Amino acid sequence: MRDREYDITLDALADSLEGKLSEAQAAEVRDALAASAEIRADYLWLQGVAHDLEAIGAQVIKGAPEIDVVDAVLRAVDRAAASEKTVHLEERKPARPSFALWGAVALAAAAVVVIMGLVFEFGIFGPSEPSAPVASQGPARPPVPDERVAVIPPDETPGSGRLDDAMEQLERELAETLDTPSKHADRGGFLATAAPVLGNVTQDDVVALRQAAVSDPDAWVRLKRMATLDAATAAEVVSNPEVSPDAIVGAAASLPDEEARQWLVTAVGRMDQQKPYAGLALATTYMAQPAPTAEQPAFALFDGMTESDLRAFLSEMAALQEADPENALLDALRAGALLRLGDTDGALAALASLQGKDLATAYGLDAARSRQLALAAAGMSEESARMLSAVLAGSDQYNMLCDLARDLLQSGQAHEAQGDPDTARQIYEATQRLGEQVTGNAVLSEESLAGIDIQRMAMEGLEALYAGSDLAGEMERLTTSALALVSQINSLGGMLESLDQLFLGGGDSSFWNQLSEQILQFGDLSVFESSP
Amino acid sequence: MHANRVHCVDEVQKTDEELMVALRGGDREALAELVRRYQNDIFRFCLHYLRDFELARELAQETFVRVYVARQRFDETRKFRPWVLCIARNLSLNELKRKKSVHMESLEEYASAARDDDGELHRSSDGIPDQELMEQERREALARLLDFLDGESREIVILRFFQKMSARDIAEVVGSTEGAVRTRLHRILKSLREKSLVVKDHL
Repeated sequence: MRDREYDITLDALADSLEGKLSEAQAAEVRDALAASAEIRADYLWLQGVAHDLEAIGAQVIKGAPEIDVVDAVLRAVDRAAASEKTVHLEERKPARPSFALWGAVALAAAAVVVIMGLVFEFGIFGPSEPSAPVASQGPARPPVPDERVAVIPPDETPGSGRLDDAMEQLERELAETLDTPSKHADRGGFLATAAPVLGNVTQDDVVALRQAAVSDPDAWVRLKRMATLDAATAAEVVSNPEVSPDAIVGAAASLPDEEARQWLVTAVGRMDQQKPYAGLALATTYMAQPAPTAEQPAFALFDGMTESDLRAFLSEMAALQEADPENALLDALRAGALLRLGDTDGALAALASLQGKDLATAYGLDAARSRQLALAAAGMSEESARMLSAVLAGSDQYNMLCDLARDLLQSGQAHEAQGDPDTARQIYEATQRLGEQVTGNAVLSEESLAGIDIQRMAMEGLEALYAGSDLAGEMERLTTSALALVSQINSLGGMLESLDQLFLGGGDSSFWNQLSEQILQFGDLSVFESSP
Repeated sequence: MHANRVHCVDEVQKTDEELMVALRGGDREALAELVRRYQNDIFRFCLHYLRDFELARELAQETFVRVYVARQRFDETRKFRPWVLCIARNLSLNELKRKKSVHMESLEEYASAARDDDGELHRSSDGIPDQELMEQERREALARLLDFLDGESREIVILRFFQKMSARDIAEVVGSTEGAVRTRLHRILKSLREKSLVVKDHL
């Protein structure tokens, strides 16, 4: 009995401290207090403790000055804003037809409304409790005194501690964003799983797997397996005189390198116009591309290539740069190969060229469309091939881009270890710039993620390089970049989540056809642009 | 000189959440107004964790930079204050972790500490009237009891009694539920009461 009453008084005290004791509770407390001297003593003790605790708290801030960091904050965010070259994905999407072009406008629009609601409800920072009504929760702003106590000199320059903190937040945000089953988890092992009969794959099969992939990494493996031709089927596709050159490019990815190279040359020759993505596919046939293992889950792009392969690759790069001179990725690829060949000066010249450009692309959409054509040519239904290619769009490019960054940064580390921090710094900075260019040009979430990951890797290199040095200005710049990148990750995280919700929301065949067509035409980053 | 700053009347009249919406739309003055409203609140909040004026000021400033960085993901249907305190708390805990001092300073130090004009902690009972001295000793005894609490419980005490936050707001700041916070607070008080009976003379 006493315990129950004792609990009553404790709870009541907690509520009374918040000033929200109900009438019934107040009556219960009054009854309890009237009935027991022991409870009265406890209650008085609790009141006294609450008072003492508040007094203890007040003591620590006794003598604390008033601060004014308004100007310092605004200067800091101005710097952050200046470095947010590609801040919000929503603001960066390419011009494209709106949902008004979609046949099932009502269905799509309804889905978008639901999804955007879910994004707000379950966003990274959005707690799941019921929303509180909008009201002013801010304390009344105290009058500004004529003279503030300025015991602390204004110094908004981030020190190494702030940089550590920013990098830690960056890691955490990226980990949260990637804390979903990854498309990149199994880069070769999926071929060990049984290949489906292409003609039997339905659009519903693809959608169901995509829905499962929200929580099941194996679903991504099965999607990749489904979208990868075996060599025999690929050989049939490329040798069919009826198929388009683009379908040949898609199918050649499943052929042995030598054979793929011959067919890619044939395909490029048959194209009415130059298509750089085909040239890049041709160049990558010289790459060894070892399969990741448990011991080495990630590798650098040029691992395993011989000198003659590297030189052949550079030759293809030269031709490709003539076709697409503004693509900074080609400079980065060239630099990576040159570094492997020990041509540091040539590599730095290529990286300098990269720095002067605005865009970098691995042609993710072109590659996805060529895969669609190859799958269809291999016997998969049009709608299944389109859906499958759409949901996997950009995933191969993510791997290639990150492997390239890893290669460049390893070269930088090697120069650093050899006592050449200046070259290392140029490589790291160019790699960071490459990440910005990739993100800035992304139309696929996978490309955007790759660009962010590249920037993150490069920043780690720069952070290590600056550690122990006296480069306050550089650390400040890096801190600002890291914070801007956190902002980009947040935007992308919300986008990835809403894409998941889009698939989970379901739809009919018409909806999926239009969605997959939309993705293959304009990328998945723009599917929520719904203004008519 | 800051007293002469011209503040936008519109911004002053807006709620915190409306200011965040304006900030998302690129209104720089909205951020300035939020900083004015909360900078000293955040500064003192950080001070409870860090016990260091300069660090607390730095983190208060950093908190608002983070507010700017995370502006797109603020849900304006929720309250701003717990959200910004959550950011300040994370920064403070990171700072403590970075300094390898995860456990907060003894609350006994807290109870007996006073600050001189330079902001330095010092301990003194000279010239204090008997009544005040007794109160101070009682609080020191209470602080010693608090030192038996685990870190999370002490944080709840700080937020509830030092910051005078509601259980609901504490829940938002520490990423818990209102019910869980209330339960924990209940246990803390009960535990303190039981311990106080053992050291009754002090209380």
